[in-house]
Amino acid sequence: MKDNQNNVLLRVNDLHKKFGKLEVLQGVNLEVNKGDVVAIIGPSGCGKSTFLRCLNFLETPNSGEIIFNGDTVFKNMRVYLKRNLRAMRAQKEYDKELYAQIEAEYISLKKEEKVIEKQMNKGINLHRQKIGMVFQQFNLFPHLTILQNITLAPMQLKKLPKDQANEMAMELLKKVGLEDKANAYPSTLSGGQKQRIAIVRALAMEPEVLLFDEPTSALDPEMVGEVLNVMTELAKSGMTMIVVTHEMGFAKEVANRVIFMNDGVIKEENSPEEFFGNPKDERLKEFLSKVL
Amino acid sequence: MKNIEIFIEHFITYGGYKDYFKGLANTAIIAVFGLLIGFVIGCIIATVKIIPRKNVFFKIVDKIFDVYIALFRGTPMVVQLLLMHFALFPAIGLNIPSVAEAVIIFGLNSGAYMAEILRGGINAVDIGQMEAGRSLGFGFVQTMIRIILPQAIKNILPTLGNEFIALIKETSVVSFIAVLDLTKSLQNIANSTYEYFVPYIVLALTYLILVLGITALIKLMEKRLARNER
Repeated sequence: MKDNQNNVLLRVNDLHKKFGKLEVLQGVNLEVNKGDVVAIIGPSGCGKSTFLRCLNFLETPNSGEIIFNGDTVFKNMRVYLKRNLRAMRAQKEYDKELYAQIEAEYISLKKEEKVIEKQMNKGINLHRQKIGMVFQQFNLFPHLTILQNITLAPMQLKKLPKDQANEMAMELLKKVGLEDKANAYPSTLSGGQKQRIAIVRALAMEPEVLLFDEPTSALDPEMVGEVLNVMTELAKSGMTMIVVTHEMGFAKEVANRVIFMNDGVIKEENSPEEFFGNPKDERLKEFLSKVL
Repeated sequence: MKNIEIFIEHFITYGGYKDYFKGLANTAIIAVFGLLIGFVIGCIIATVKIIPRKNVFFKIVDKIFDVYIALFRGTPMVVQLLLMHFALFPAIGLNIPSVAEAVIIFGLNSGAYMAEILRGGINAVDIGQMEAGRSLGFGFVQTMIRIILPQAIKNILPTLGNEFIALIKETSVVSFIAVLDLTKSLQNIANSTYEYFVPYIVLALTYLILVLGITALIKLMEKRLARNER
């Protein structure tokens, strides 16, 4: 199993996220290996996107643990101990010894977690460089040409010389068949083209994992294929991908693991064959009967 | 025709044109540098104002900016000039040319307006742009400078043009603190000849030409920035 341990890129333990009173994530556990293509499906409002956004801290989780490449990038487990302590205090009689023990544990945990928090406050931009993200609404920069969109981050953040950055960008553009658009502005592109550029822009930072937040949901049906093709090629090249999607075909054909989320937790996780051929969760059965 | 002759005589023969061009230069210096200072101040304030979760330091800074905006938008330009030139600057021992004083005061004044203009422009940029920038690994300030502000400025360019035009016209009160500006230079000619008609017509025309020139310039900039639209 040690070999497998080294292969783990991302581990998420008991992740919780609240928006006000609404608890969107209610304890998500997930392990992603290098080269995995994970498809996350589920009804809207189930927390798929929020989960994805927690991974690169576009949303800050409330509690849980995220370990990326062996580094703990987020940890807040002390809330449970705090809750225990409060519950104990609420009782008239409680085990003072046990209380002191938990309290000591709480204090040391708090120390540890504060250190991680401080490191992440400084290291967050570096962390995000390793995690590419593709959005539903593309979010290309409208004031820059396609080439500038792609080379901006590598040139500014990785200090890549301009000619090298341009060369790399052109190579990537060729791969998605859009090299003739290098000097065009995003507003002249179709939705499918924009999304392919958005993928290239994320790839230009050479991330270790790519997150896709419903990449084809804002596209005309005609254009879904061209984006999925790019993603399929990417998966074949060994890229680690986590994809929130409504494209069951993609989940079935390209992903090697499919996850069903509902009510802020992962209800079912399986290989695509098992997942679609033999679903176990009742809600998943219902969901699949509606979308397939 | 006689009053034109008198004016020309004063303007050319008695060297009135020297004052006129010096005044024109001062007006331009105060307006342009005032605008630049105001723009920088406005960018800083607007950026601080849109930071999502502020810590204590930024909350205090935010409040200070609120007071600053209230003071400079709540009092007339002339009052600010008089107060600073005759009371505040001497009190802190600041001893610089009156034109420099005017630049500072106009910059501070325009910054208060610019902050609100820029905040509106920044808010109009899609939130997804900030998220895209951050997800690539840019910090908040970097994303602001490279991605958000260029788009915000494009949005507010017509309003910025308005602000610049207003600023140019407002400079006509700097003679209160003994700066020789366009207005003062022609006022001097009028006062020494007791002939008011021509000098003030020339004065009005000069401002009009300045403003029309700026309007054309802004149109040109808008066109240039619009090249990323279909």
